[in-house]
Amino acid sequence: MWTRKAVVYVGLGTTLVLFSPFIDNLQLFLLGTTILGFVAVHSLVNTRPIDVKITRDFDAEQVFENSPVTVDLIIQNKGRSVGFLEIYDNLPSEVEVDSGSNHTIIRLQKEELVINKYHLNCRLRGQFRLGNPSLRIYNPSFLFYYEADVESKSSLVVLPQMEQIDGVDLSTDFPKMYQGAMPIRRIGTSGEFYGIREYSPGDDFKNINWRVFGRTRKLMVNQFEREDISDIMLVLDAREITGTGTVLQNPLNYSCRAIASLVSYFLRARNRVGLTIYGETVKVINPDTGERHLYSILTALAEVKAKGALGLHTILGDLRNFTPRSPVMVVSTLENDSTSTEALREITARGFKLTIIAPDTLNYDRDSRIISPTVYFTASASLDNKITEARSLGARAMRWDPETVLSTSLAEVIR
Amino acid sequence: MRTIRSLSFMQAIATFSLMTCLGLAYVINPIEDSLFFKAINTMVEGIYQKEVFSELNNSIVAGMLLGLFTGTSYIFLSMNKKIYDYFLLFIFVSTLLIFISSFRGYDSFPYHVTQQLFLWFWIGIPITVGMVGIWQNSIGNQVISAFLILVMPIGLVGNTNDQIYPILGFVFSFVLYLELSYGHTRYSRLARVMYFSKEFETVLQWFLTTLVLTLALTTALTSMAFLFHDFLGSILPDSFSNSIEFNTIYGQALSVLVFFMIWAVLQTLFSRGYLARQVED
Repeated sequence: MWTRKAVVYVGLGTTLVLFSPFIDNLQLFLLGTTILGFVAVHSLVNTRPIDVKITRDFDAEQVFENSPVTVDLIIQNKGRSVGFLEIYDNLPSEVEVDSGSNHTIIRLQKEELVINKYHLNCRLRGQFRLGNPSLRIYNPSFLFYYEADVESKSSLVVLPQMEQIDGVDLSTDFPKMYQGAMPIRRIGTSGEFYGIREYSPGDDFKNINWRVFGRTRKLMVNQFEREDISDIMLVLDAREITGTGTVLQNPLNYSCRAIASLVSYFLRARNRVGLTIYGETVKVINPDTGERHLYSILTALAEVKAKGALGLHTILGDLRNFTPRSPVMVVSTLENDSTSTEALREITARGFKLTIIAPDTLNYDRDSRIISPTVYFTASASLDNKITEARSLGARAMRWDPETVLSTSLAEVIR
Repeated sequence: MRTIRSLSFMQAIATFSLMTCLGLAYVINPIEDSLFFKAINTMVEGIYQKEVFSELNNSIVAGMLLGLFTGTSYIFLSMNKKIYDYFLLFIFVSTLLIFISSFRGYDSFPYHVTQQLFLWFWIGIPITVGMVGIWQNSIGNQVISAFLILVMPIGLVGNTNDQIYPILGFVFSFVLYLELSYGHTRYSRLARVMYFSKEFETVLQWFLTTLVLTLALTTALTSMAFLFHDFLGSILPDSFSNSIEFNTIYGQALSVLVFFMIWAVLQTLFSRGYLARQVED
């Protein structure tokens, strides 16, 4: 391909060669000839086809939000030497380069291998496809260039960020014992020692730790682990409206983080956790345990997109198969869902221990002028009404400001 | 650091080439024959109602040195916006005062000095503009400067093979100026993008080496294009090769164009891309 400079040079050279005879000017004539000659010579420099292979290597193919990923772009020359090779690694807009650069200009000798290392910061969950790196070869004086894409696609899964939840009792009042009790790291009445605390009136004398009393002259009682497990169903609202806000700051992203944190917490306590996602369709991941199950849920969360307008009532059918009286946690703003009241009533009527977490990004949206103050007040009042309504049905409901720690907010509602 | 050194070297050589090509342009075309200065002379004569230029020193070297001084001053002044603004104001007021005092007839004012400076300023203006283009990476200035170098000295007298060495020197330094100033603009921008990395330094070295080689090859090709005229003369019928048209600069121009047309056709036919397309078809 010709650059604008080459076109100007050829135009100028030809004009000078044709015009100079009219004023009998050998100087301009020779200049025109030289410029044409210069372009002709340069058409042979660094313009022949090249054979470059590019591969991408990540230090981890699955990462969590806001985690760094190191990318090695391995450039291998299998053809002639290249003087000016510009490489641009096409990245999705959701990931940003933290250090190093995905754009490089190098000189490649025959059979040379060059590794361009750079670090990405993945600020948004999702399953991303890194496109083909683009190549551009210029000849040294920028007269000709050649552009091509090298086949090298890779995928990168960014899982939602998880928050450590501790000290919040989200377990059921009806532990499921039939699968066999197992100790979990929570205070209870099993034989496994958990810790000690100061004596308070009413504590059983047999739990007093006399050895500590002998040492410290303070009455301390032993605490033991509690044994229970339960099925927990988490419900994620992925309707189109949950995508309102910016790419990074929207209710769906915060909901996914909350779900990921809760799933991790419950699975660590050896509960069986299921997930129902509704929006465009209803997707159900049946309750299960273990690390593998955690990653299958996290992967599902990474893929969730704000789409559709199905109401909360669409999940009721799937809840029928779920263990009665178990905890159900709905993470939703409940905005623009006319079926939510009826659905919440039915969930509580079936005896499920319902908790509602409503991620509230309205303040951010108003401050960023995504919504007007009028819309803010309307939406805020509507959300308050929904929360009050849910509480009147016996559910534990909260407006969660994503800027605050989830476990702190949960502790307040569970109190 | 080597990248910065190489880029500074490019700027220095480009400035030197700029001065050389302007100097040689006036060696080839004397200033007295220049259409541009004849036009200015006529205008000045119309204003002052007397021959001004004939009384002044039209030294090209002085003009070039003044151009170098003005260009350098401009570059340094541009580094500080406030001083630059005050300086422009000073120049504007001075110019205005000179004209007012000239028309009011204040004899104590040194008109001769100011007129002399104006003439030298005009001679050196391609250098001033070109220096700003080179040192402030302005492609527009580079183009204007190149245009002024070509246009300002041109007269109607023309030139012949007797001046071949100054002409060759002019052509070489002119192309070197264009390539180095434009190359500096592009490569310095890319160097910033690449954080002056070692890898980029090798690309820059490759550019400088290739530029020298291609200029040498271009000289050879230009000579070939010239010899092609003689070759055509030997293979064409006598009636054609002995004609007046063929043996003037018109004939040479046509021969050169035929030479480059043959070059373009051969390159298209023998390039790998062309062959590949033929196979695919």
